[in-house]
Amino acid sequence: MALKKRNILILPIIIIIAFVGYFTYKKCTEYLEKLEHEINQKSLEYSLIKQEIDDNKVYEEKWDSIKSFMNELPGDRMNNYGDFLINLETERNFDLQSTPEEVPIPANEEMQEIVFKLQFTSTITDLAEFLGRLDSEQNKLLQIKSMTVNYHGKSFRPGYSTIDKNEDKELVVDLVLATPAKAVESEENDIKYGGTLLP
Amino acid sequence: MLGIDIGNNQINILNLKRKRGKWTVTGSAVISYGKDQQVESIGKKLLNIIGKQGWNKRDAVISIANKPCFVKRLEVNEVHTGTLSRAEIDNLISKAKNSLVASAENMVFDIWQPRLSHIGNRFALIGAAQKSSILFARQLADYCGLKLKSIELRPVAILNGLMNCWNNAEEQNIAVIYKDISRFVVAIFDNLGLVSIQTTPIGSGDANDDANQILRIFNTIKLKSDSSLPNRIFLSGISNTEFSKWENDLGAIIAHNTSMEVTTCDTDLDIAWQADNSDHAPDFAGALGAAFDGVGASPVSFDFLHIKEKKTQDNKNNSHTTLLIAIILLSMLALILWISIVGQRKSTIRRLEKDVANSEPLKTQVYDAQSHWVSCMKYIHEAKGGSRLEYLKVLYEISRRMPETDKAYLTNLSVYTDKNENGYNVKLTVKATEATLITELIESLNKSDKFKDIKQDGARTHDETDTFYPISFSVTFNLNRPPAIKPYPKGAE
Repeated sequence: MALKKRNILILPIIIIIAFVGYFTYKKCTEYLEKLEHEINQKSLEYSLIKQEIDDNKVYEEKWDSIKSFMNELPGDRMNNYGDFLINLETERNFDLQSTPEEVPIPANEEMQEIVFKLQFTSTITDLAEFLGRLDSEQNKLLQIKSMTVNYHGKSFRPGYSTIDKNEDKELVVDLVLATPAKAVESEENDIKYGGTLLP
Repeated sequence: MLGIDIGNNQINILNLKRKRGKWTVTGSAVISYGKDQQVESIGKKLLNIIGKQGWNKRDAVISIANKPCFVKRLEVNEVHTGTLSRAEIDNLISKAKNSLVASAENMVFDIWQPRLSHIGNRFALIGAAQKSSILFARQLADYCGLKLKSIELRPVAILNGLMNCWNNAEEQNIAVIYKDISRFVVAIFDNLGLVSIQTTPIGSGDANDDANQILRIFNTIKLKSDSSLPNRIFLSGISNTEFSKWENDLGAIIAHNTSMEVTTCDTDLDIAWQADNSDHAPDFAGALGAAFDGVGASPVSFDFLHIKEKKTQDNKNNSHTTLLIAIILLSMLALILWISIVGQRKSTIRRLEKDVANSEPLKTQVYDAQSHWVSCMKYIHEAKGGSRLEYLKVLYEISRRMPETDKAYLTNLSVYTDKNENGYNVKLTVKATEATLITELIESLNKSDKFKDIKQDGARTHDETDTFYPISFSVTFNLNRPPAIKPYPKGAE
């Protein structure tokens, strides 16, 4: 009788222990799987970051090779490039009119563009030389953003080219040049350099 | 081996040693005590004696007073070759409890079976002792720092103490009677061994009365089993002056009324006594028997220090405790294992998070560099890895694709690095000698791999005033350039 009573007590205890054991096992397994999943995610994230860093490491070297201009003050850079353009124009005796201005680059808050709007009249030869000089300046960060050339000479006649033989400056050229510079951080710079190219 | 015999009002102690192949009592003592005396006061006296006698080895067996005595032989259900089963022990104890007149609740039972007995383990002796007596013996041993080997029933100890007297008897059916101050101990043997031990109070001191009591015991035995009636009686008792007369009278009465032989066993010739009170050797029968128990020399022995009933319970408790400890240890092991596994994984997560966090500045630096480089590519010469458009090359290509000057010439040229608001890079305004040159120019420009999307812009005009180049039209097209690299978006993960 006592044995039966004990068995009656033991049976539900075993069932409860089995249930609690199964529940605990399930929860533990779930928790371990969650941790494993988290480890996999973090590993993947870290691998991707490493891969991206490795893939883009080359840009660091490239940027290091050109980034010295970021140490220049925008005003100094404007003057330097202004001087460079004046020299080119002086060589060709261009009647240069230029308007420099600082324009922000939307995609990059740390930089801006210094834009030089040039207008002059030229012969075709001088223009070609001028463009050739600009194009060949490999070490300068320089871009011709646009160019408009208008011929306002005499009308052509077949077999006779005024451009080839006439020394007159019959081409009116509008040229927009740009170079990158460090973004202006204070109004002081704007006031100091005034946003105009010195003649 | 110390034999300590706790009597009703005195404790007999002796020390038993094996010397030159003979059991030797090296010392003995008596402690008298009143009924109200505590363990501490008796223990002090005992310690004092032990110290005086110089008994360094404190192995001891204590015999405890038992009133009434209960030692009976019971038949087991099955013949056993080894130890009794739990069920058999329970069965025997249950039988013994039913036989007891006194309340069994205060009693502790022990079972003894001779190991190599001729009875073939068909019987077991069961003895009962009072719990209070066992407790007293334990407390006394603890107090005196004795290494207690076992606790014996006093009547059994007395029987064992007299064993050299009766053990070699020729008859198989014998009775051993020991007279104490207030009780007889009557042990009866048959051909299967000990049948029972009974105690009975001494009556008026008249030998006739005592003989009648003893004969009543024999009659009880005879009624149960005629074959168990003793043929010889061994008489012994404490050594007072009245005992010899009583012993003679009793012997004579029994011999007269029955056909039984009566033998007295006053001295034990097989035991060497070195103690002062060797004259009182019979008084120490209980202590001697207890000491025999301790050295494993006694023919019958119970052990109420390690009783089977309690021992089994202890075992059960021990097994439960062991199981509990095992479960706790396993649980702790599992917990430690779990903590270790989880800790390892969490540590890995923390390390990865740290690695990711440490990579962030480098990633930002690299992406900033990429972003800056992409922003500046249009200013950088192609030879330096940039995408700067070379206008002279554009002019040369246009010039190459133009018809001969005799047929057409440019009046306006607009080039935009990025498409202008109308969606093209280049616009040519041309004056030509005839309209077919429009198609000719478009086809020519189409042949260039540098241009695309070439189309006429607006309608052609005809200038009547220009004799040679009356036709005027515009052509727009785009420049074929490699796709721009998109900079990495700022702040994106």
